[in-house]
Amino acid sequence: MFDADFWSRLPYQLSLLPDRLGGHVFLAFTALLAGVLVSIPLGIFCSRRPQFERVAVTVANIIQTIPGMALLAIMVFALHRTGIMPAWIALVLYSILPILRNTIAGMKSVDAGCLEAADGIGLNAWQRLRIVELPLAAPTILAGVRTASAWVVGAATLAYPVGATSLGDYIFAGLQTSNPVALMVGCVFSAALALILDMLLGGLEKASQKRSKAWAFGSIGGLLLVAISPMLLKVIDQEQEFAPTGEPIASNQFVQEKPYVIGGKPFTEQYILIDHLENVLHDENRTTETKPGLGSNVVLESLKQGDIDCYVDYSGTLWANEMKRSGNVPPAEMMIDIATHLKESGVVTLGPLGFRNDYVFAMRKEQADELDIESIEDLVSHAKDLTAACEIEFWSRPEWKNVQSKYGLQFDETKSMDAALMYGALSRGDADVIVAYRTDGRLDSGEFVELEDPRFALPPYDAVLLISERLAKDRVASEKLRKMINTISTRQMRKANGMVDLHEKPIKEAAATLNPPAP
Amino acid sequence: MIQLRDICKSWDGGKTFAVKNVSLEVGEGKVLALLGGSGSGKSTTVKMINRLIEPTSGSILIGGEDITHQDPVLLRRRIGYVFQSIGLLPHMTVADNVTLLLKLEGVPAEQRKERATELLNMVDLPAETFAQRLPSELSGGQRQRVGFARALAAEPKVMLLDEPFGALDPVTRDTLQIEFQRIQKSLGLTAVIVTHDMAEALLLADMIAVMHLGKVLRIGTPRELLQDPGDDYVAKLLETPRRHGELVQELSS
Ligand SMILES: Nc1ncnc2c1ncn2[C@@H]1O[C@H](COP(=O)(O)OP(=O)(O)OP(=O)(O)O)[C@@H](O)[C@H]1O
Ligand SMILES: [Mg+2]
Repeated sequence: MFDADFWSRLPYQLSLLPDRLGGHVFLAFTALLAGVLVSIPLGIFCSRRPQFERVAVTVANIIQTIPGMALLAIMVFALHRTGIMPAWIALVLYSILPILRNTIAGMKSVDAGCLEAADGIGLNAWQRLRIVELPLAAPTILAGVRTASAWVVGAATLAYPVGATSLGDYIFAGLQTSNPVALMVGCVFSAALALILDMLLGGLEKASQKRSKAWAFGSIGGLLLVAISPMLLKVIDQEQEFAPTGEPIASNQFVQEKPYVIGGKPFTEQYILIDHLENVLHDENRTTETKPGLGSNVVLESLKQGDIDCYVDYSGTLWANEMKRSGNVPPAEMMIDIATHLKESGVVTLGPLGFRNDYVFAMRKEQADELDIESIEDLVSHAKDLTAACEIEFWSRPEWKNVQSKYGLQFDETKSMDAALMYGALSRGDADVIVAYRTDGRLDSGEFVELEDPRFALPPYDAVLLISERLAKDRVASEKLRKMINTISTRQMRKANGMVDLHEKPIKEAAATLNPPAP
Repeated sequence: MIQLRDICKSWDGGKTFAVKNVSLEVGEGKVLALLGGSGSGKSTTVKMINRLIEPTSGSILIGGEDITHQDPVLLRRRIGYVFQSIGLLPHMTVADNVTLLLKLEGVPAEQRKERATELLNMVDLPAETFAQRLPSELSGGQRQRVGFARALAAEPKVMLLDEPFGALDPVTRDTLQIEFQRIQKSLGLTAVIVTHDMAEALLLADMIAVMHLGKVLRIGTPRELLQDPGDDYVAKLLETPRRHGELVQELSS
């Protein structure tokens, strides 16, 4: 597991740490603080009124037995919303029992002689509490806070599915996308955070036992340091992005008020996808409208504004245009980041459709076999004898610069031509290499081979299904759409595109060839 | 100064009485000793004087005022109390324990420190050695002295002492009894002192009230009691110090 690949992916994951750790620390600290503010007064109250003690402790006990996930889900339903609030409340509820129990025990353990003396000297009830009872009960209460902190820090990782940022993002997203690096980072840091907090609260407990100011200041200082650690990390790591991510759990009782609007960009594949999406939504008896042919920038903005409810974009496009990111990251990481980023503006990323429409280097099969070329890497040594052709803009795009710098690729000649002509030129031998769109139907003639890109010089353009918050709240429909994830292979998409572009079949017919999602 | 009028205390709604029909009077600057066996109701009686326990019936007056109408917190601050259980606060230094009430009253730290030194010296605990110690770092007798000093801190006119010399060896006890007497006289304190030691009562008190099973059996000056015990139980209580005295005299002649 800890191979070169792992280590090379680590820095990227670590760059996400400030936000996730920040979210985690914020959630856990504020929840713990609220838990303390609720439980200690409640504990004091209960220690004086045994008839309430049973009720309070029983309720807290019951809450504690609810599994973390279930408690979060209950909160989402109770509050009718996702995000930080339900997660926070669940954590607060979780923290109550240990603090409550220990406060009651601590208060009861205060020596009766001390209490009598406090009264006899002439302390009023508040002074007695502040000067005698709380200081004497403090070690026990703090032991409870310590237990609660361990629970809360652990449970905060579960906040991911309800859409609150935490170290759980690493763990959940890591599991979903089989990313061991993310998984590892998440586990290590949440364990470390729990341990450090435990140590510091242990220090505070010790301070209260020893009545030592030095211990108390040291521990409190440490806690503050942990609280601001994400900000420190952020300062160290200037290149930071937003983290909140996750998929909302939506309410059951949903009534569709108006038709869902399906958007799309102005090329064949997008028209086919609009039709496909309509079919899927119609299967669930949802009404739809379409807004095809929207500009690449407009379409996402429309989704953010709620003018459209659904469309398919491409990871590389979002990465460069929307997120203004340049560095090259593996597709899985890119997908997580996109979801995280879009969540900020209320766009829900359902996931990849399965096919990819990135740039691909293609050659005549015959020539590739002859030169024993399978990848761009293999191409390098022969490139000086070869002619490449592509649409004019590609030669000035960062992707091409990236290919050149990563592989040191230098062609004998580079030609610019319209995409429609490229394939003919390649076929005739006017060009030896073309840079095509991967789902272009014309690549399917059997005459050509696509070259691998082992160094990820060309960014992934995975088709990503995006939906609006409104549609996400429609549980049935959005679950159905979610089932479209990974159902369309590049080959299938290419075939459907080919039907329209080459064989002049209607869009509907092409869309019908795409797999419907599982029922 | 202190008057108890027909005080009763029942913990069980009147079935049994821990204190029954007790009437007592302590003149200004006088010391009353409450004497009796374990469970006879001595502590219950003194605790009613500063309202740590509310009487079931009867009334208590201090300086002519009925205390049931007074704020218990203010009442207690005016009355010095030495507890049977001592009750030093374990998380505070000796000095802080002694001057806690002054701190609550807003006395500045500098003055508190002076007062702590003065009080600790008064009970023969040199401040430089003991002021900064925690109660757990003291012997039982030293703790009792701190408890005594604490009761004196706010210069009360009335003192309640519940077996203040219980945990002391005879020599220290004697020293402290003499100290108490000196302080009590010089400050003109009115005091109720609980004891089960007749010799102590005879030595310290102007008046002795003998309690048994919640009732006052006999009340009088030490001299009156010695001359006429008036009750078998009282006579028995007087037996011990008298016999000790005779024995000592016999041996030394
Ligand atoms: N809070 C209470 N609830 C019920 N009964 C009590 C309570 N406090 C005292 N008693 C009872 O009242 C009676 C008198 O107790 P008190 O403490 O006054 O005795 P005492 O004379 O001080 O004895 P000792 O010399 O052992 O201190 C005892 O029988 C005791 O059990
Ligand atoms: Mg007693």
